[in-house]
Amino acid sequence: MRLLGSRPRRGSWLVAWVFLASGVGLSVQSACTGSVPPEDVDTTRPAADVLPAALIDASWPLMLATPADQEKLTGTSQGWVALILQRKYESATTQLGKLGGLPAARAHADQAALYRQAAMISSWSYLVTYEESAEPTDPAGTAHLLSVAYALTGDLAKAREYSAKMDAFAADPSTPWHAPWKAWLAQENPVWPPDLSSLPLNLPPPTLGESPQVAFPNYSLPEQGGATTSIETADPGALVALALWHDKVAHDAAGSNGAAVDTYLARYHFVIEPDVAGVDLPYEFLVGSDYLVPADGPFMADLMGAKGGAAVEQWASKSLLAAMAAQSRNADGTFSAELAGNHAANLRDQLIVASVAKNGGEQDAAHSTFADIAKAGAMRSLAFVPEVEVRRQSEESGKLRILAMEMADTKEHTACPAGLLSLAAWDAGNGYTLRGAEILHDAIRRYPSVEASRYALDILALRRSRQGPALGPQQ
Amino acid sequence: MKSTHPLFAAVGLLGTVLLGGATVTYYEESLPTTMNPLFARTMVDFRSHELIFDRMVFRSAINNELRSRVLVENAQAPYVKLERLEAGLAVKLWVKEGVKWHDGEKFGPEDVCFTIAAMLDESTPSPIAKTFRESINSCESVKGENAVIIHFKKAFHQPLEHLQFSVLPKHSFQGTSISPDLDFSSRPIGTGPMKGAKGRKEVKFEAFANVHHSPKIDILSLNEGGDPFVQVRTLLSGGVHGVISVAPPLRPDVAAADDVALKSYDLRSWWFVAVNTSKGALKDKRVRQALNLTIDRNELRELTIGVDPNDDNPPCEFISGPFVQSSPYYNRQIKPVEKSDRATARTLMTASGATENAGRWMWTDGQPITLKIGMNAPLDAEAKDLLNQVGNQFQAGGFDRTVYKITQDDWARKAVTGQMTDFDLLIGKWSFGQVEDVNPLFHSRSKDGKGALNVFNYNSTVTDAILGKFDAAKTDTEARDAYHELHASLSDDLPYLFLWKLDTKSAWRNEVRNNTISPYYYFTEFDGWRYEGAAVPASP
Repeated sequence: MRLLGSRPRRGSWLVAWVFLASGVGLSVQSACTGSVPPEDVDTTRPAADVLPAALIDASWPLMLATPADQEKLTGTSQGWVALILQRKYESATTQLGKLGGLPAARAHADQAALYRQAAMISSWSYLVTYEESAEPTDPAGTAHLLSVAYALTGDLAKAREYSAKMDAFAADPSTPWHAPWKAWLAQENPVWPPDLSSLPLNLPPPTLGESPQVAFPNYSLPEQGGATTSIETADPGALVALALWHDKVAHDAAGSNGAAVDTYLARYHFVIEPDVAGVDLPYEFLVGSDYLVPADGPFMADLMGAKGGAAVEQWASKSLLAAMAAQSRNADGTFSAELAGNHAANLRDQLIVASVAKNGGEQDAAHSTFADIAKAGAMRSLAFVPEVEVRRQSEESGKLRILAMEMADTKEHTACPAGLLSLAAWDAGNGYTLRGAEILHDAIRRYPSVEASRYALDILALRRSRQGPALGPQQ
Repeated sequence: MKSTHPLFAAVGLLGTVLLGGATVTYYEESLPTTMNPLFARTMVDFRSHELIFDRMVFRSAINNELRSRVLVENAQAPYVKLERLEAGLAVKLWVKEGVKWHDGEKFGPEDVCFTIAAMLDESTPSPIAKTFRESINSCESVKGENAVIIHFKKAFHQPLEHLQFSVLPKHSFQGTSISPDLDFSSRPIGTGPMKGAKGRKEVKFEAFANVHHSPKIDILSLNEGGDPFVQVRTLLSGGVHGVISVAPPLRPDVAAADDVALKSYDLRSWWFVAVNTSKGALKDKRVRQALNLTIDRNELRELTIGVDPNDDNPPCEFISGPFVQSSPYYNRQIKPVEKSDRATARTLMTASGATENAGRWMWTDGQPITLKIGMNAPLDAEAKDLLNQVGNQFQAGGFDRTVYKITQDDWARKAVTGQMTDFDLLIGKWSFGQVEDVNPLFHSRSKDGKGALNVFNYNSTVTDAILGKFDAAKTDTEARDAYHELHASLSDDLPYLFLWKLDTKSAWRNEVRNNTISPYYYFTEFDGWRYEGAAVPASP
């Protein structure tokens, strides 16, 4: 039954928030009664386990359930609108950078995650192209690309093996770009991060509110085996350097709360990075994020660290994401993407109902917007559970990642750029490029430097296109 | 708009009638042209065949792993049990026991080898078979092992990639020379999750339990989609459960609905206006270039697809050559023509010898230039009124025009086979998967099958030479460079006026669960689909 006068449409939430931000509160008068669900709640889905009410109440959408709560946030900076609703990280960084402190740290942390995932697209593309599908004509300098790719994906032995191969190619155009990695890999127990300051990137000193870009292509690698062509490429180190640049600014801004930055980023860290001792996430790192309650941060940090899947049960009473993960298991204990998807959908409904209740029975246009973000974020986060418990290429993980992407297609506020690039990287690792190419093509419009990873993904796409049977065009 | 559409009232009634029991219904772009996978010509064909047949090998819709339902698999990746022989020139594969054809006959190695023999038989006029002829040499059954050995023409890095063909039942054919007009083409027998037959107005698929399939939807009904608005209203009102392709202007309505979900369908599709370079004034490149500048793609897109010009991530993106912009083959140096440039068009026309008379272009023979324009009719569902809008723009530019919609069947049988040369312009679209081979579109037609999809039999030695470079490329870079050169060359010579890439979105009601959509083939994971809606009486 329709409860509200007007259903929130795409874009209406933005108008609502802009109004809110300018001091004009916008809430839609509701005729809500206790027996009828609020508008925009899906009643066709089968019932799933109800998520703990205390955790729902502690989630960030509930922190923003009333217009006053929302005004308190947006009144400080329009950068929050750019960050959470428009998903424009650079604009958000500029605006939140002026505030300094945790808001600025959050914006820079999001960019750090974005460039890490762009680097992962490059890494997986190079691994699949030059290792799994190698051709005799592949350039000698691919040893550098593979060395970096193996380093970022946590295989130091292989990284060193390929780094050693570079010794024979002193004149290769990639050699200067390999030098800092070689030095880092030469250490017995290399401590992250490598010192990439020698890379010819002309990055400015870490500065609050800035979003530096890098130029490319960085060099051309001559092909071998009688080929006369060269492959123009962008060095994956450039993307790592950008991620580290934003890391540094985020930590500087966060001051004594640096552990929050690490916790927030743990999910999108490179495999080679050390485990994070997670801390409860502060408000500024929760609002509009893929995390829901403060304990979701340390849960995800533990999940991605040595504890792995054991973190689910350990955190299930404190972390909403862990509680959802615990309820998303089949009878045999395996993780089910379908159950997780149902829980994410139920989460959305529960958040809307609780938000309406907290707002005195009035449904605000922002309620469903925030619940959408929470739903998509939960799916993106839960996708890591089967990756940790089973294997990186788990189909259950892919299903959730794709569901979140489909949501982002129509609901821009759920389109987390780092999450989308993470899917593109996951696909690249599977040798699949169609979806990633589109994701990247769209991302480049907003973040020009991520085009660096297109050089790598294109190489993979070409290799796959030429190694498969040509079914030809169809009508 | 919603409440005033004249067909809206009928939609509600239709919805009441269609829903019943566990039958799931969906709208397709058109009916399939054939049910024999050897002769698939449209994406509708490919999607439909995926329900009825098993491909020997397929790629997972989620993580892209090579899998098989009819071959013995390992417990973990690499899944397909395979033994490489003869230094990689052959592979041994084991056929799964207990698989039955839809008529109850036992499936076995002889069916695999029969299918390969049929594809290798030069008298089987199958464009799909041609692809496999290029890689497969022969097949032999291994007695006592329920296995086959397949010999390839060269050692492939990943030989299973070259076995993604649908398997046919040997017992249904007289020999390996297979004709497209056999009964099999409307009443196929497969081993897929559904058995089906093509009717005049629908295709009905019925679940067929097998050792390797356990479909959970009893009946699936494919209906030909008509008016896109009606399709979506019928979906939203519960009259059908799915729409394969939702027109962009209607996507916001679907996205806003609580009980319907928009689903991604990975397909690289781009639209074009093919130009008959052998006919009248169109022989002159300057006239073709003038036509290219007469089209206002911005206006066309806004009028037919409803794209917001300020949308920084539009579903429809202009192209300047035969690839989508996200493709590595797309030459990003060549910018698309977005707006019309009538002044330059006039200059080009004048230089070609045409004269302007009261706003109409007259050719050198003193006759007005009249363009006979055709369009593949199902495209109207995605880009409403495109044919007329294109015609209107040409008329506004001084070209007379007549416009015709071409049925899907005629398009498949005549247009793409180069038999509609009485037309001047043909509007269509091409779809690709991960492999983007455009050689069949632009190579001159030859006896050995080159240029098989060359709409107006375009013949250019320059283009042929570039395509030859692509075929001969030893490295990926050489291949990419050849296609970049092709892109630049075609954007100048203009056998096509390139329009745009348009992504495809499906919509399914939430009662249809776990409906994973595979890239290109769509229904590869159909076994997992479930219907969990309440049964609705079949009549009011």
